Amino acid sequence: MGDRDGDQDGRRRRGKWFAVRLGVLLVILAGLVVFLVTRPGKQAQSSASRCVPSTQLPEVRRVPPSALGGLREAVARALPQRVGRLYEEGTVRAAVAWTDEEPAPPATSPGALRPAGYEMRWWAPNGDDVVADVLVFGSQAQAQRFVAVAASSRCRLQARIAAASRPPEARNVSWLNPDGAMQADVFLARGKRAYRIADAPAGSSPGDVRSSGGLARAFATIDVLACLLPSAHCQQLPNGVTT
Amino acid sequence: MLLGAALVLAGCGKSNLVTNTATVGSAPAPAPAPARTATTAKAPAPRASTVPVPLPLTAARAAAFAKAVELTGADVPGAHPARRSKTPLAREREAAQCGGRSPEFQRGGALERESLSSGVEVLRDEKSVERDLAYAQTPRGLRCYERVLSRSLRAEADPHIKIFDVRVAPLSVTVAGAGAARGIRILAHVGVPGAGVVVRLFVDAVSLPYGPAEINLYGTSFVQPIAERTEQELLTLLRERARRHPL
Repeated sequence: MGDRDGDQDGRRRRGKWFAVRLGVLLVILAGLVVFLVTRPGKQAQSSASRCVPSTQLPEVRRVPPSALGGLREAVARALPQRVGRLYEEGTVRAAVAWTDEEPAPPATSPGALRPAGYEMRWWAPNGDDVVADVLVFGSQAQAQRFVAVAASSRCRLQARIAAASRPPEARNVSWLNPDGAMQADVFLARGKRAYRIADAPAGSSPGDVRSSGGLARAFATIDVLACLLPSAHCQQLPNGVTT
Repeated sequence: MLLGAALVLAGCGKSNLVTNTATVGSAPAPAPAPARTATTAKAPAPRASTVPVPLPLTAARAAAFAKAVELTGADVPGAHPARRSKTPLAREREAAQCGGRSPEFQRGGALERESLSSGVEVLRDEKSVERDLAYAQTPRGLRCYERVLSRSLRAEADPHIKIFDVRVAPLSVTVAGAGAARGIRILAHVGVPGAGVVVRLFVDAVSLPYGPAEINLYGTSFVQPIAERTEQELLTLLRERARRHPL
């Protein structure tokens, strides 16, 4: 009898312990669900996917693979001579300005037409994530239209817009990107091409990036890097920077 | 020079060279630290192959397979095929008999210069491929590479540059749906005597098993290695082409 009571007590204790553990696990699980649902990245991504497929946004042309070499060469100039560590590159479409999706790998068929957009991504020496894009549209008007839409607060979280310090007619945008990180972009249109250079400063949180001056430094960086792009026409550059 | 180095790599990885190297390097050297610790340590082993080979393998079929799989200029934006460097005739003949090689695609200038090429070798069967790839990552295999490459790079280098401190480390590149490609990363230092400038030269050579075939990717780059993502994407591309073309 005593043993049976002991067993029952043990079972009750084990049952209680199990219930406590289950409760803790459920609380953790609920917390994870709340985090995943409410984190900024999710909001930004869903926001972008709602807005970007707009009929007002022009899409890049499609070109033979041989045309991609010139596009790559154009964006490779943004971070020359291995200053940063190149970690990814490939073709992109116009929506990349909002989605920040990874560039596409080469097509299986060597003859397939490709989007006339090319992106390269680097880790800068200071840990920033730097991206350069070139997008080629059917006309100059489309390229300008793209820049007008992209360099606005539309479909972007916590967006702030300003004229870029350089190159001429370039525009700056800071925003919370789909990964929940603060990002500084500069957009400019040159002929049928639109360019973007982006810098997501290294930092633990968007607030830290802002308060530490990381965003201001990122704008200063990308505005100078944009001067290295073809036809940037910058009038003055900081000492030591040549185009 | 780089193409020559790549061919030397292919030779050093041959299982039939095990006997040759055993007589030369009797004391295995400890393997250098992995170039990519994370992927080397965690990369899954290549999956058991289910590649159908319905007909006997012939040199012609192997060559056709290699031609269908190999890298093209369209796969490497901004690159142009480089002029082939001189390679030993015997090695060229060997390559032609059991597969094929793409041209070496070069892009960028000065420190940004990099090159990519591919090769396909068709061996007797899957076990031969396994043995070949396993040997390449043994301490003895790595030592073989280091020795042969040091000689080859120095012999083929421009007389105005100096290549020194050649090191070889195992390399593993994960490929979506195909396990991992395994191979080596060569790190050398290149200097111009009198100029006081020394830059790092990276040469990657990785092989992905595909039935009785090895799909090889070679990448050469100054200052920093070819982006891992680029190597993953190109290996995935080559494997997809292999799947679409019967052996």
